[in-house]
Amino acid sequence: MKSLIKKTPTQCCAPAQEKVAQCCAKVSKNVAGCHD
Amino acid sequence: MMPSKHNILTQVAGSTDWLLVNLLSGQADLLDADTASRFQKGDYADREALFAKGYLVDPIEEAKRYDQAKATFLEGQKDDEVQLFFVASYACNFGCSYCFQDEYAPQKTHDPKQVIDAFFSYVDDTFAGRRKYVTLFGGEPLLDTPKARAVVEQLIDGTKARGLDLAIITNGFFLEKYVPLLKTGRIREVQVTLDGAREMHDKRRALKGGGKTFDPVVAGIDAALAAGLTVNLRAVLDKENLSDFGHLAHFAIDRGWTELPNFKTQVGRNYELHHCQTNNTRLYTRLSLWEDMYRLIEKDPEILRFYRPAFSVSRFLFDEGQLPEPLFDSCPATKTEWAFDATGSIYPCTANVGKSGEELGTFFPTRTLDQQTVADWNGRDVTTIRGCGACPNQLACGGGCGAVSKSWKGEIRASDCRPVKELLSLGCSLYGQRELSRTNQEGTAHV
Repeated sequence: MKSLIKKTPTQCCAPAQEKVAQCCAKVSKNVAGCHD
Repeated sequence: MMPSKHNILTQVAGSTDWLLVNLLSGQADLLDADTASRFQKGDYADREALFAKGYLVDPIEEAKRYDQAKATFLEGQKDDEVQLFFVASYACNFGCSYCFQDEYAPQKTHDPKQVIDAFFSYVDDTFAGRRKYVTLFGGEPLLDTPKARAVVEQLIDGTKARGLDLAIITNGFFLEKYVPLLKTGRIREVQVTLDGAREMHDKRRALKGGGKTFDPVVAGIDAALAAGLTVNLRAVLDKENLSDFGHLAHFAIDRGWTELPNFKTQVGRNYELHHCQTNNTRLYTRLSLWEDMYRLIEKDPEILRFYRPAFSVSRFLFDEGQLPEPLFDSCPATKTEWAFDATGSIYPCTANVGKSGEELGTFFPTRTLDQQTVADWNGRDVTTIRGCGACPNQLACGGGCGAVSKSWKGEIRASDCRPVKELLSLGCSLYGQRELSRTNQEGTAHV
């Protein structure tokens, strides 16, 4: 079993309350929406 | 201890290795064939390691983590930026062979200036305190008419006055003429579509009544990029033009676009959103498009300089070295997306803006909102969608698109599934080459 995870979840995050806004761990959507 | 409900195990395409992913625990591992086979049979050599990574769980403890993750997701969604689409007109100068708005009946619209004033007033009142930006959509919003220009001017002024960004989705035909005006605004990006190199694009995206469009669109992209505007180049793909995607990629590379920081790309699948298409044998399924794209990239890896497919969470995993947050809801409608048009109507999202019967209310001349339907859209997530509950892919898929579910299954809260396992298999093969070869050379430790 070989891990593909190189970062711990906190590495890319600022203070916890800003996590969602700043953390890179989100998949961004396209400007034309995401209906497909 | 039991296997997690969120384990996704899939064989990597073209490899004997297997990928084990768990979006809830945030873990991803490569397994050799023997370990994968034993894992599937419930034969765990190192239960402790599997437990530590959340592949084996105490179901009660996992249910708690699931609830906590959902609460975090909803909290984030509440604070997330809202995308507000505005359609001034559904009129368009293109006659694309696959337009999903082609059956929209002409609608009675109000004076655009009054409607846009009312739109901004509604935004000020309803979305006060939320991060937001406006996207101008159509029809074609950048027509070469005084009326279209006045709309763009008013939207630029209105967004600038509020410190908001404005994005524009255009076919690009008159983009070059609009660049000086757009430069005066807070333009987040301009989305333009090319469906291939010159010949293919002109075949699929001709002017209404005929007429080539490739060269004017390219001139518009050049002008926008030179002016420092961000261009998001979209290609709408099906079996007719996928083979030409490489030509488009090389065209963009040769033109120097891919070296520019303000150039990005996206792919849209040609599919039946609201109604059947006449030539629907050319349409790909959600999986077959990416299978063919994978084969195309295998033959011509230079394409990756132009466009890097997501293959579910694969690209993210290998680019970031981590998994994205669990996706409890992939449908932004009425949460982080709303749409408005010049009839004064409010819609859930860009997929159904302008579609008769999909209105949620009005913002002009009077304000109304169907709270019950809004609540139906708003409550759509993998915990409420019929069919998602027992699916191990749910936190990578997010339940798909509510507009597609409503169009084809008759209800908002039906599932619109993504082929997550198959996409991970392709994506891991494409982006995990280094990991896979090292694994194969060194051999993986058995669990």
